[in-house]
Amino acid sequence: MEGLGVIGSQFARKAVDGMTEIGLGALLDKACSEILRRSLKERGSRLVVNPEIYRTVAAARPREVERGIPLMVLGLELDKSSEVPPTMFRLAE
Amino acid sequence: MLSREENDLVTQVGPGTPLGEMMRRYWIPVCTSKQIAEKDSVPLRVRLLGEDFIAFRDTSGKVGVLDELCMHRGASLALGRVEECGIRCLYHGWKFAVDGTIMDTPNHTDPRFKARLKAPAYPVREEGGIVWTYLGPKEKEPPFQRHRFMDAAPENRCVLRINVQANYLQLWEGGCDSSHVGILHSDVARPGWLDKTFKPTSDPLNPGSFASDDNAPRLDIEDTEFGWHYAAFRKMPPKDGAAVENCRIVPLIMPWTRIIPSPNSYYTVFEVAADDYSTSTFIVVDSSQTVNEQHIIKILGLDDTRLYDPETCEFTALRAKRWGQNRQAMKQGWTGLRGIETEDAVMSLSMGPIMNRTKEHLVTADQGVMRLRRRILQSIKRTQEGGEPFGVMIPDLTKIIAGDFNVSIGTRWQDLAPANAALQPTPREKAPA
Repeated sequence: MEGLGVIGSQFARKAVDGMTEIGLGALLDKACSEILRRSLKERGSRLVVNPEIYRTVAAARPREVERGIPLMVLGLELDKSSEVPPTMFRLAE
Repeated sequence: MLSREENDLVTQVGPGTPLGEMMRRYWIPVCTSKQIAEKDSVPLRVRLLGEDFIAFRDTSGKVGVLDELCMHRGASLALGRVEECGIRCLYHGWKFAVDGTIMDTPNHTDPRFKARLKAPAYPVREEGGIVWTYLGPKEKEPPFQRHRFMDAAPENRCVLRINVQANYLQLWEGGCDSSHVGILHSDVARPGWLDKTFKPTSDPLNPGSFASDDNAPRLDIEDTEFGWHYAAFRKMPPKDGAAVENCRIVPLIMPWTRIIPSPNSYYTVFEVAADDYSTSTFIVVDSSQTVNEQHIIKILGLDDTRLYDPETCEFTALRAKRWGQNRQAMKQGWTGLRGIETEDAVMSLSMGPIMNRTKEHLVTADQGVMRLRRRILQSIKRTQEGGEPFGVMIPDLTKIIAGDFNVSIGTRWQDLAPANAALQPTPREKAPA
């Protein structure tokens, strides 16, 4: 369940051009593939990302942050950990 | 969701922008052949990727695409006289051929002048009821790409154009967002939704015709050289005791095309970016049978003259008039609008000229939208690094498959459309002209 996500590793290699990608758009698409690959039970409830990515999302949703509403991304609560590189994610309980 | 920088990157198409430079590497739909049908046609103003052009048909039937403003003193050639194999500016009478050759400069009679200079003119092809041009660097001009509808007999094809005041990506994202179809287009996709008595649409030309009442399709996505394709699986009642599901395969072709299947036709849709804030949607319907254009116009909702002007091709729904929505009609229908294109266009218009994607809350059902953005960003990056944009070097797109299939559970959908992943670019030196 806590296995590291796949940004920059197997999914990047599957891409047609094989380029390593950095960016929120690419990260969400890859996270989405991984979430859909897992069963509902295995998905967990948190999407853990690098603090830099977390800040980007939080900056775009100031009202949610102000009101203490969890930042929801792809149906999961966004969380941060400096152990996760900016191009990767982790699905966790 | 995208960062602000990414949102700019995937929506800005003007000269010098990364996306605009990538899009300029493809052949681009300019107008329908019908819009300049007559010889010595009225010149048509066209906006493409933030630049203004005119298209006209000369005395011999050849089509020209030139910069709109006369190279002499900048008056619009849209006002010009089209006569004797050229277009003449009203202001000082300078006359240009379809290839930009200067034919006459009445106020400057030195013959060497017009021999040395040429007006900005662009390569033109006319295929499938559409006029196409290429705006990119000359040395990068790709082979002209053939689509399946170009091989259809004229009576088995219809070509429509709709100009919508919204960024191209809003419209294109709608085209790869399978889960909206059974909701926004409830009236055609799920007739009987109001009283929960679903029965499939009987119209075989309707692209919203679904065999299933399932509003939560399971998506499977695969990247291809031309872009990507997806399969949307919807639950079906068992058939002869066997478990089956409906599988709709839709290919997305860079930089703005998709093919939507209906039971007996294909809708090839181009969301051509006119500029950052407006889009020319070209819809080409082709079938093995006769296509009745008026019927297609009705399916799309374009017979409502309050919202669509067939002469200018403008979609004229106004925010101030709630984009033409009829609230009374919502008691009997889902949207208070009518027709698939009308519903799609109004959704895109309602987002504003350029949607702010930093604000959205995506869920896994939106993966088609996410993949589209990612492939656009990848294609931009590839182009910036000196490579070819996705799919631009595939001259033959006729083999791309879209389809709607009822299949046994567990069927490998890629086997239903094997050509999609197999198509590969032709090396530039081997590409046809």
